[in-house]
Amino acid sequence: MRISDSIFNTDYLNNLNTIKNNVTTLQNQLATGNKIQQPSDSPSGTSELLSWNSQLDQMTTYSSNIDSATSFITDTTNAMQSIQNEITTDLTQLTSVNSATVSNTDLTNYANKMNQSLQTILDLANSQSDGKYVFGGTDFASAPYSLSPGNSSVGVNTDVSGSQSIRTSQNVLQKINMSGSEVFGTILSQNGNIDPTTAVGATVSDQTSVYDTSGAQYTFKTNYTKTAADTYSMTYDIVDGSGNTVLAQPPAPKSFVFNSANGSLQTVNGQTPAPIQINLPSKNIYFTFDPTGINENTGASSLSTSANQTTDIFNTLIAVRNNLQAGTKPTAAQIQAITDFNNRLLDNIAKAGNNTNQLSNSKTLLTNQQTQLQSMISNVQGVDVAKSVVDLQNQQNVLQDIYHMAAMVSSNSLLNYL
Amino acid sequence: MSISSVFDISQKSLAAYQEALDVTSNNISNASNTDYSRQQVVLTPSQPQQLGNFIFGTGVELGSIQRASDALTNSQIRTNNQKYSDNNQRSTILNQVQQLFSEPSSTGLSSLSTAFFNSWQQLSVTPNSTALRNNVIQAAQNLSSQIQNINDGLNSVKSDLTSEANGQVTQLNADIKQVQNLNAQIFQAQNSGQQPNDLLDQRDKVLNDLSNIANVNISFDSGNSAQVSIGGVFVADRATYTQLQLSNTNGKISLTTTDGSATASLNGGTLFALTDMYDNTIPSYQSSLDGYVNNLMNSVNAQHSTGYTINNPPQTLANFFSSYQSGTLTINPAIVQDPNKIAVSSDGTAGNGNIALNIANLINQKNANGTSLLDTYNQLISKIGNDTQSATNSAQSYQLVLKQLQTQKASISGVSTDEEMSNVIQYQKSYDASAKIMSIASQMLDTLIAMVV
Repeated sequence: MRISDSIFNTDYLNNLNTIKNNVTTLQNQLATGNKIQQPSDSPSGTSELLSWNSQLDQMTTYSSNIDSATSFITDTTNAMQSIQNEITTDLTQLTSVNSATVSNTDLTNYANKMNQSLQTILDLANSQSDGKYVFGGTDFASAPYSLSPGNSSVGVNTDVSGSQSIRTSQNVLQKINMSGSEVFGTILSQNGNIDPTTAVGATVSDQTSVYDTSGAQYTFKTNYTKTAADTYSMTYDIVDGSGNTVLAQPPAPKSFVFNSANGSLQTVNGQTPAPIQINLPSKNIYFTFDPTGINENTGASSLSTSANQTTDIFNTLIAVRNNLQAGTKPTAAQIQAITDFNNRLLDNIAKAGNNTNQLSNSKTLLTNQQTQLQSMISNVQGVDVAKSVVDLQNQQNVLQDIYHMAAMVSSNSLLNYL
Repeated sequence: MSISSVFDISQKSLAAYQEALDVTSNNISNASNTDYSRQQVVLTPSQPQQLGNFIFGTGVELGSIQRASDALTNSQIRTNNQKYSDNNQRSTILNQVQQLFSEPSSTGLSSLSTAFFNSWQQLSVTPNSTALRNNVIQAAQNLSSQIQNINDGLNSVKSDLTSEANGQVTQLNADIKQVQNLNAQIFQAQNSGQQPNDLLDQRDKVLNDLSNIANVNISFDSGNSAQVSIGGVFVADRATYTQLQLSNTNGKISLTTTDGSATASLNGGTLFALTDMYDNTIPSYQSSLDGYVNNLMNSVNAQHSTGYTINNPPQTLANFFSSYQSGTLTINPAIVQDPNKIAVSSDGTAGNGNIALNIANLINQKNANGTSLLDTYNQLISKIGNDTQSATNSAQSYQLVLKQLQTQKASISGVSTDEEMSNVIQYQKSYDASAKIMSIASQMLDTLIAMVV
């Protein structure tokens, strides 16, 4: 092949340019530590990186949320433990009141102690964590519990039944709060069976006693009227001793749908079944109605409703205090009610502990996943420094060689020998 | 044969080698000119003379000056020029486009979208926190700002493409005019028996330039005039030429004749890359980006409008984003003014963050095609990356072919100074020898004259 001057020149420049490009690329990779500087460096790698980085950022947020939630649950647990300490002290004192001969003055002293304990428990029930009432459910409009003006009862100011959840991974939601309803509230649990052969239009009913904060008795009535196969319209009413409703207006009916295959309650108003909070501040009636225990199975219709307590702990303590002030020792039923609350509280503390453990496990899992993901990101994006340094050195050597060759050959032509 | 004929032969020889040296000198002068085709001297014996039974040579003369050029190689160069220029131009533009998206980095839309959804995730833990509500607004503003930057950047690139395309058309028109002019000059020179080597070089250069800009089709008639058409539209021959312009119809640019009677069907050269990127590629990216942003906005609004604010009384049915128009994603001004109007409660209580949880989960929610919101954006980035890589690789590939062809051309047409210097020596020696003959003839004549005197 005939070699002209321009071939020599353009070949030299092309080679020089190629090597310089290689050197620049390697220098950039070493300076940033990243193989992928822009999408065209590796379109599929970039897509993976974007997806993994997004997952990593989300995991960091889940992890941060777990820290916040753990702090909230710790505050909740601390509040419950403090309440439990108070209740234990109260029970010790009440046991000693009942087991010894005490004067009226002593009873008054005990009454004062009970009053102080009530105040302490009330304060703890209204305690906050990061601006949130720990037993306030999701309603933070005001402190959830307060004494009436005459200190005669404790009312619930807000809806304390709300559930707070956080996401600990893409698909896992975890409840983080112990609602006021769960800790202090009265829960009416309805169980039993509804016969699936019940005719459309027929009604299955149940009723049980509920109490206001002063201990006055009312009747809570529930009716399930069949509207279609496996579907019932549920209504309820609260009536006083004279049989008169105390509700300002009838509540909207709720649609209960049972699973036709296994008979379990499937949805309530199209949602996953959950306890229903019923608050009647005008009558100081507060309770949670949990119908999730009813089924629709072959057999006679039979419903029953039971309550975890008749009166909440605050009003039980007020009743005890009032008795002591009046020179009356606490009744066995009152002490049993306080003992029952104490036991439920211990269960709730255990539940909170379980929540903390679950969060801790989720955090550990997240940390492991983050490490794994970072390793994958590093494999795709990270530069093999040793290899790049060797490659760079190699390219620089070649560059030097090209310069030398050009200097040696370009300077010579036939002219040099004429 | 007389002594004077020796003078004649020497004189012709001196003239021929002087002309040969002129050509060599011209070659050496153009050794660095890549558009120059070296010229070769063809020396031929001059017309012999018959005396008696013998035929005597009458010396040497310059037969012709030939241009070393290969039409096939030139044609292949022009064909590859169109493909290389197209892909190289695309690669340049796409590199600019991919820079606009700042991926993969913390300032890219992927990171900012994730940060936006994470801010909702954080808010779901403490929904009544004003600081976390402000975080959501800040994250939304960052997202909106980057979306606007990308859209502004894409519009700016499109605007630059129009300017660049107009410049290319101006160059194209100048080249077309020059082709016609050179065709005429070449024809005239050839008709008068001249060898228009330099004019042919000039025309080859202009035709090369044309092939860089657009897909040209070139044929040569019997008079060696180039007949040029671009995208099926005739533009130049020896007698006439047609000027072109850039026409913008319905937001798409095309190359038409100035009277609008014909539209060039472009499929190569920088002008094809510019118009295709303007008409199709960038709008498709914008459309994908708009789709992503609209999807994000609508999904967030659909959830947000079901939530309640923590104002007193709680409000509902409010959108988080007001609109997405002309590349601008606007956050509801009422929310920017009052973070409490972010509606994340599903029941109106301040501690309920169910809507925030739902919004945060939108990032991973799959549509009917099994694609998540972020997947659609990642696909766009992947497509831009693939397009850029493909254009760059194609450009490099065509560049390699082009280099080989240019080397081939240089091998035929390029000047080698060594070769030329060798010729110089050869011609110089011949010239010296001819002069020596003339000197000897002169001495012979002197001898004869001395005999007479």
